[in-house]
Amino acid sequence: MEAEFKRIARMLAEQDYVADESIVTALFLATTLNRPLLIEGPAGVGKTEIAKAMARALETDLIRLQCYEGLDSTTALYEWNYQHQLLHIKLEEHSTKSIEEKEAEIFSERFLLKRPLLQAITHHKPPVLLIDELDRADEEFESFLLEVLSDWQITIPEIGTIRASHIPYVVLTSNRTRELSDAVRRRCLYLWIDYPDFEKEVAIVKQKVPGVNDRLAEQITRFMEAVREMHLAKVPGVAETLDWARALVALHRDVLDQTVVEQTLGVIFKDRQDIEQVRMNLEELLQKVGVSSRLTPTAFSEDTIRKTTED
Amino acid sequence: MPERNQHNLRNHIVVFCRALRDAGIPVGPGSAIDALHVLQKIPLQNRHQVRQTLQMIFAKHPEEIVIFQRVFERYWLVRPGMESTSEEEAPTPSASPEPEKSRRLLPQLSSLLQGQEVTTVWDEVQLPGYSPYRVLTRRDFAHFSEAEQAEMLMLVRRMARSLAVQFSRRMRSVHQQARFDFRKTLRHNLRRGGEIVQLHFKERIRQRLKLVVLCDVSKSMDLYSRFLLQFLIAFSTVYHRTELFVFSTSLVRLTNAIQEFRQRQDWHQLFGSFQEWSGGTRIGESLQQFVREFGPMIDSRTVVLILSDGWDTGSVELLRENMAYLYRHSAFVMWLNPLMGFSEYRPETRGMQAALPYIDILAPVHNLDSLRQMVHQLTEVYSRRLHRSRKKEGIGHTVGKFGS
Repeated sequence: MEAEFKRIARMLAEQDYVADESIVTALFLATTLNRPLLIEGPAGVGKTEIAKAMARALETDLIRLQCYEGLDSTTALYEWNYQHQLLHIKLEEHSTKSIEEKEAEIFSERFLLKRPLLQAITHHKPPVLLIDELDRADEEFESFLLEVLSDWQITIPEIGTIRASHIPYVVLTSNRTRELSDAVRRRCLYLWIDYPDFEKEVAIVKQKVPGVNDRLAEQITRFMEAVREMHLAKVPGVAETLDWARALVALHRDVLDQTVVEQTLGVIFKDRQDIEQVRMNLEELLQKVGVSSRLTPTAFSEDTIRKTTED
Repeated sequence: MPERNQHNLRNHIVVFCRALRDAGIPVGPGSAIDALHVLQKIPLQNRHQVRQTLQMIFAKHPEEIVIFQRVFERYWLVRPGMESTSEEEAPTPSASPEPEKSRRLLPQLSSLLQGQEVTTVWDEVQLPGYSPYRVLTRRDFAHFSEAEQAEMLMLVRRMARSLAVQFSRRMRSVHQQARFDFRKTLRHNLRRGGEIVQLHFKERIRQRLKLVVLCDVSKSMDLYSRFLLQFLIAFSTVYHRTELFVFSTSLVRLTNAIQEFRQRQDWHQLFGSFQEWSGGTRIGESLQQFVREFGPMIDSRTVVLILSDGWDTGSVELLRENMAYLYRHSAFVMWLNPLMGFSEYRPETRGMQAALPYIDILAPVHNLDSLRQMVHQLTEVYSRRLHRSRKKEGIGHTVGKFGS
């Protein structure tokens, strides 16, 4: 119960993953109910990272299936290693084995290339199966996936049906570029992750970037928060925050100033128009972050930031 | 005592599920069972945790999370904390806090709580379907009251999504995935003495239709464009190859704004990006702007959808010219006109007259049925059952009218 929660929270903390309560709850539910966990949210908030931390915390392997348009069942399940089979036939050409024997040999596990889904269900202990960016795959694949996720068995005509020895922990992520079908949603637990709040992001920066001081971490986070309020083409995620923090540490900066921000904008923004827009509003942004003044960042509550943005 | 608590908890969950369904979240029995299962494992005193847990089980969509939180707050409002539920009786009908809600829940609640078995409840479960809305699908968009509009918008979005799924599925069934290329395999391997080592596959080139939608949002279209846009936006979230533009006196591309909208679900922000909402109409000028800026977007696999009533104050000559361009370069041009819902309507405005030769299909869009028809037509275009014969170059002739 409560102990279970604390255990998950502790295990995540041990993996350097800064988790808030909702994430701990989600993992608790996913492991207790043994249901797939669907995670949605903007790009770069650490959706994939959850699966990785989960695998490490459960001390099991992570099997990843990256989705893309046109992904089909062969790439996700299994394929026969044709070349290998052909070579084998060639080598066995003069043997005296019967056709049936030869056939059984060719279609044995030796020549089977296991793709992520098959790998996951035949794994020696329940792995974490990460199905990443499901929204990029086609609708067809989604329904196919539903079938696998509910039956946990895969039929290979030449071999027979392979049943899962353990049911994997499944994590699905989506960036919402396409709406997932209701059927998939209904089957999963649902976790929506947004950009982390100020405290959490500061904690993440401090955790992940050794050598960053408190003040810089807070300034960086304030800046990112303010930037996310602007309507940019590509809103920077936590990954960008970390990259930037690392860059600043590498440059031996322990405080933000206008020049260094201008020099390192390319680390945060990956779109020319965004960079221009930020550069134009840089002074205002930095004022919000409190770079020019000697005020402590806590003096700038979120309300102040919101208000200035509206102005 | 523990058994009675269990019973109470069960009732609570069942009634809560009903409240959720009433609010529009389709909660199935499976989720309810999950919830019961989990609630035995977490401390019920921690209201926050209970809420989070139930939310993950019941709400499966960002939109649903908002609804869930509202229903949760309202439902458990009566009892300040969850801990009290195990000591008191299960909720009484009068406990339902909101009068409007309680009126609908009341009969169900009382019958449910008068000692009926929980198992019978599952049989009664009715997930929200389209049936309550059936009447609505034939009504003209313009005839809805404010209250009905909200409901319609939700229905429109839902329908768009399911139609888009059907549409893209049907299209895909035409294609096959990689096929073994026998000829190429033999040819290449003969070079190496006839040993078949290297295999070759062929794949059909994907020829998916691209949709370019130009939607008139001028004053005269106001009543319709709101529905049409919601439909199109929802459609485009499933069918990716959709480019969306709105115009009145000038033209704005919405495709990028929609990307952002999908993340934030903020209708105001989306529509705020277009200044001239509900202004006058200059179709010709807007089309010219489209052709000039986005002309290359139109190719022989593009279907152009224009949604407008054809009331135009701009240059008819420009309209003709640019319609001709669209017609020449695209696979198909559909003009959807809400006024065609009226049986006595004839496309006799100057604008419509000028555009008519360059339209493959002129059809109404004034109610849900006609939207469905539209998607059906698109499927037909895709599967090539419906196409423009190229013999009569330059003049459209498949002008037809359907479903009204």
